[in-house]
Parts: sequence; C-alpha cells; structure tokens
Amino acid sequence: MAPMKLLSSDNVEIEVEKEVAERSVLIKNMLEDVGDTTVGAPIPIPNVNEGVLRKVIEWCEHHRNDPPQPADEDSDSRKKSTDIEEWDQKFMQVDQEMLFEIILAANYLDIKPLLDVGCKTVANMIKGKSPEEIRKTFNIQNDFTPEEEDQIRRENEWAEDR
Amino acid sequence: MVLLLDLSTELLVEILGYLTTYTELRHACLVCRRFQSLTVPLLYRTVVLRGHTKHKIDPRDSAAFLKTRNPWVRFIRYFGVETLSCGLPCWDDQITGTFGPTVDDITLRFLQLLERDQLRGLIICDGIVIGEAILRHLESHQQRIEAIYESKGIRTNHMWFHDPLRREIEHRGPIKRFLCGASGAPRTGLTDITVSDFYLEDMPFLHRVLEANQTTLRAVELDMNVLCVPGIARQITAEMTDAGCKLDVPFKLTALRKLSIHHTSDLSNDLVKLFTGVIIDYSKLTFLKLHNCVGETLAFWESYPRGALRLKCLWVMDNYTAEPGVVNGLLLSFEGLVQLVLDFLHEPELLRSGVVNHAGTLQKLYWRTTSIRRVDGGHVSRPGCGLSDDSLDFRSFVRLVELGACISEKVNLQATGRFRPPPYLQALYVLPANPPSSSWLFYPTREGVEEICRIVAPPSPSGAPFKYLLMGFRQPFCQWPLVLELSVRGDSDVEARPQPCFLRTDQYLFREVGESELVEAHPKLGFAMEMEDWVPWDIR
Repeated sequence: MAPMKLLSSDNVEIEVEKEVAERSVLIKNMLEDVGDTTVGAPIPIPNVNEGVLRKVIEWCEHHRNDPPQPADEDSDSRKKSTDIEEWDQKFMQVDQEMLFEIILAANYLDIKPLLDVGCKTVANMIKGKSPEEIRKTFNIQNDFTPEEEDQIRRENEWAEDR
Repeated sequence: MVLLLDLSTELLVEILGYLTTYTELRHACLVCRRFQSLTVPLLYRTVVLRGHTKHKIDPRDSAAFLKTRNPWVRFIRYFGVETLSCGLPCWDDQITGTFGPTVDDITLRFLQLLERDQLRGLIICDGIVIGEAILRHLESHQQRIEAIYESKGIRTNHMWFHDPLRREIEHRGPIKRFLCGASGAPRTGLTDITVSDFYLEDMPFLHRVLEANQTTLRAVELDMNVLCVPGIARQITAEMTDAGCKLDVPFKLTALRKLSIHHTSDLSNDLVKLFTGVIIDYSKLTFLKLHNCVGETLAFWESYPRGALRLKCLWVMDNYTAEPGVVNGLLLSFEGLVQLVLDFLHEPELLRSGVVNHAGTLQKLYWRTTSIRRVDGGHVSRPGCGLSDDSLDFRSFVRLVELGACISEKVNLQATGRFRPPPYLQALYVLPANPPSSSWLFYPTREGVEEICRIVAPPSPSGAPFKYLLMGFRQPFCQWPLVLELSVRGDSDVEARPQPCFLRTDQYLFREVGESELVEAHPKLGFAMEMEDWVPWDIR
C-alpha cells in the first residue's frame, strides 16, 4: 500500500499508509478531490499536533480493517451502549488533556468510530459519580447558588429510584 | 490545557448522550449550568407516570407534572403511564376502577401542559383505557405519534400466564385500538412498534399497518404469548382460513433495522410467512431476535448472496424447530456478528462451525443448552456449549469480552479439565439452569462458587483468566446476579482493601462487587440496563 505524508500543526511530517489515513473521512475526501496532482506533498493537518496525530494514526492502524460503520445505525437510540473494546480501553488510558485532544482531532478529521470511543470513555468517567465527584474529576466550577441547587434537586425528585 | 467544558456543545451533547439512567442524568444536571442545560432535555425525554396506590399516581410524579407548571415538560418526547401498582394484573375494567376518577388528571391535564407536536412516542403499560384517552387527545390536536410501545407487564408480572387463556382471547385486539387513528385507518409515520398482545387474527390488520409505514418503521417487536399453546394456535389459524384471510405482500420494510418476534411456534406459519424475506430487507437488518420461531423464519438467508447480511446482534431461542441446521447455515452465511445469544435445545456440535465463523468479531456470546434433543429424537447426557471441546477453542475469539455458559457445562469441564478462555475476557457469566429448587433463591452458595472456580479459574502462572464472575442472584434475593471480582492473591493493593472477601482460593481472591460499584462497572462489563438484556432469557 502506497505511503503518504501528513503534516502536523507543529510542522512535523509523519508517514502513513494511504489506507490507514483514509480512515479519516476528511483526508479521504481531500485525496479524492486533489487526485494525483500533489503526489509526494504532505497533507497539512493544521489543527492537530504531532503527539496527537501519532496517537490517532496508531488507532487508525489498529482499526484499518474494520468494516465501515453504517451511517444511520441507531443514531437516535437512547439506549446507547458504552461498551468499549479491550484494545480501545487501553488506547484511551491517557491523561485528560490527551483524551480531549483525541476527541477534537477525531471530530476534525471526521473519524466517527474514534470519536465514539473518545466520547464513551468520557461518559464512563462520568457514570457512577456524584455531582461533586464529576466536578472534581473534570475540574469544573460549581456555578449554582445553594438555592438553585436545591431547586434543581426538587424539580428532579421524580426521577429518583427509577 | 483542554478541559471538558472547552469542548464544543456538539461534542458535549454527544458525550452526555451516553448517560442513560435517570441517576446519571440527575447527577449531571447538578454539576454546573452548562451541564444542566444539556442534560435536562435528556432527563425529561422519557417520562412514565407510575401508579403508587390503587387510586393515585406516585406523589413525586404528581408534584412534578400535575400540580405545578413544570417548564421542562417541553422536552418530553416519550410519555407513558404505568398502572402496575401492586404487581397484579390490570385489565381494562380494573384500570377504569383504579384510575377512573383520575384518568383526566393523568392524561388530558398533563398533555395540555405539553407543547403541540412534541410527543414522538407513547408507552402504555397495562393502561389501555388511559392509552386510548391519550391518543384521542393527540388526535384532537392533530399530533402524530411515531412510536407506540404497548406492554401487558409480562416482564414484571408472573401471574399473567395464570389467567385463563380464554379470557385473554376475549381481550384480544388492543393492537387495533392503538395502531389505528380515529378514522380506523392505520396510523402512518410510525418508526417503532412494540406489541405484547398480538394475535393471529390481527395479522391482516398488522399487514396494513406495516404497509402504511413501510418506509419509516425501524423496529418491530411482537409477542404472541397465547400462540405458544399449539391447540389455540391451530384454532385461530383455522378461524383465519375460514374467514378467507390472505396475505399479499407487494412491499418491503426498507427502513427496518430491528426485528423481534417472541413465542411464536412453527405452527403459526402465517405469521412466519409475513416475516420471511418477502417483506423485510434482511440485508439492512442489524438486530434479529427470534423466540420459538426458527424453522421457516430463518430460511430467509438462503435467498441472499453470501456475505450480504449485516446482522450485528442475533438472538435465537428455540424449543420447537426440527431443523436446527438452519441456524448454523445462517451463521455461516455472513460475518461480522457482535452479539450472539443462543438458547437452543440441540447438540452444540450443530452450531459450532457457525459460531466459529464469527470468532473475529464477537464481543458477547451467551450460549445455553440445557436439555438437548437429538435430531433423531434421542438425548445426550452432557448438555452445555462445549467450552472444553477441542474444536471450540475460545483463544481465537480475540474480541470476546463477555461469555455466558450454562452451569451444566461444568460436567464437561470437570471431565476434561480444559477451559481455554478468550484472551481479553472481562466477564464469565455462569448461567443458571436446573438448580435444586429448594435453594433456587439462595443460589449460589460459597461452595457452589468454589466448585465452579476450581474448573473455570484454575491456578495459572499467567494470572486470572477473567475479571468478573457472574452467577445466580445477589442476596438478599435480587434479580441481578452475584458479581464477583477476581484478583490474584499477593497483589498488595487487593490485599489492602478493607472489604471482606467472598472466597479465597490458593491463587485468587473473589470479592463481591457492591451495588454502587456495580453501577460504575456497568460500562466495563457492558451490562444492559433492562433485566431482559441483563439475563438474556427468562429464568423465572
């Protein structure tokens, strides 16, 4: 499979197989648009730095043979599963900054399965935690007054024990 | 440094969309204003008013939705009434008696709070009278409904089957009331239909409903409980024939992704005809669940080119079919299955090659064979799915994280001493089957767990073969299974934990996972939220 080059936001060229790079819908469309006119020239990825790009490529390489995801599959399902494959779980064992950078990169590069894994990972970090624990985990400031908090608790009392 | 709140609203919505329980959403609402604005619509998306006593709905529901003007009701998309207040059957007349004075309060007054055209689905649990009142109200405001979920409480009510079948037949036909509009014509624009009271005589009408919604229906679930009794099925089939019912099928359900048919015996061939390849585009179906309707129904795959199917989830529970090979043929005809549930009373050997065909993609496999019937009518003495069999080596199932095997499999395992688990197995679910009835509710004992563990988790230099062992029931009796976390002894972190150990073996510690931990462990274990998914078949 032919190699190609990607140029990260910090100007580092990374060689990657075309088949792997095409896990990104953005890159795939870009290659289709430009055709063979820019053979050998690196494709700039201005929003993603080297470290994150290498991580994204690692994921794409592991999942290079995955079947394409149907576009309309359960897009509106309320019973979304947060199952994550073992390899992906280990892949996502990174610090929070890298996790959010991967999500941003997956969103920018249009790699829906990677975006899903990233979002599920964050959702799993929220599940089972109290509001205070969620704030602590993600460094979020509580911007409610105590009265507002009480009111929200009362409003949502109906949803207890369900 | 990028923080969670630095992500775009679109991405935050995507993340919070994975929160599924009311508890998770309530907690998220209290984190900060931004979280609240994004999670309130999810929290209020589905609201089911619960019966509390004989004459009232739950006071918390009443306070939230009936007595005050709640601004968040504008986010409700799926609304329901659950009238099973005491766990007893509620028929039409009883519901009128129970909720008669408050039907208007519960339905009309509440619905007046809703903004027009916001409801997408109706959930009716035993509340036929209330359901009809809601639909009439919606029709009078020209509101359309996309999904109708009707249930007679089968999952929560064991007494249902004790009611005389004749009475059931007298009550048949609710499907028509919900699936037609005021004019009597089938509703259109439906995306989901769940009907637990489906009768053969409703078939021509159902056919019209399907045809009217052929481009929108994404999920169909039908439960034909009565027809699992052969005598009744024959009688109704004869009535249909006498009435000259014919099914012409000049259309296809092109949007259908999920199909579930329960409790339909092979005797109800007319239903089977409806759901064989004629009207359903199986190449687009991703979820197929069949309970006692394997024979002719599964033959659809023969008309598809090899590899054309893209089923991700397949559930086959069958007691009747005389053609078990058709299931294996289906499994061999395509690849890519992620979840497979088999409750199949035939020799495991008949399905082995089909299961192995999906070794590279399966993430969850539940396989129970308890009472095996040979094709020639004889029986085998060692039921199970063949965990220890040479021809089924789970080490090649590289993505399998949940494996459920029948407890009777231990006989095979004891005989061979071989259990070769998948390399990344997270949870081994030892499925109950034929335990001694006297200790059923208290199953398993420590001794029972120890016995199983000697077989499935023998001392090994490479560490624990899986992380969680699921068996029987939590105590005091709970429908959820006992979940034990398996750790290698000598690990200082594990030894330092203050919780008491459920069981110690030479190499492992088995610690019971508590309720709150279990909630946290759900995503790791991939446990489904509903009991039916948690235990993939009815064990009661």
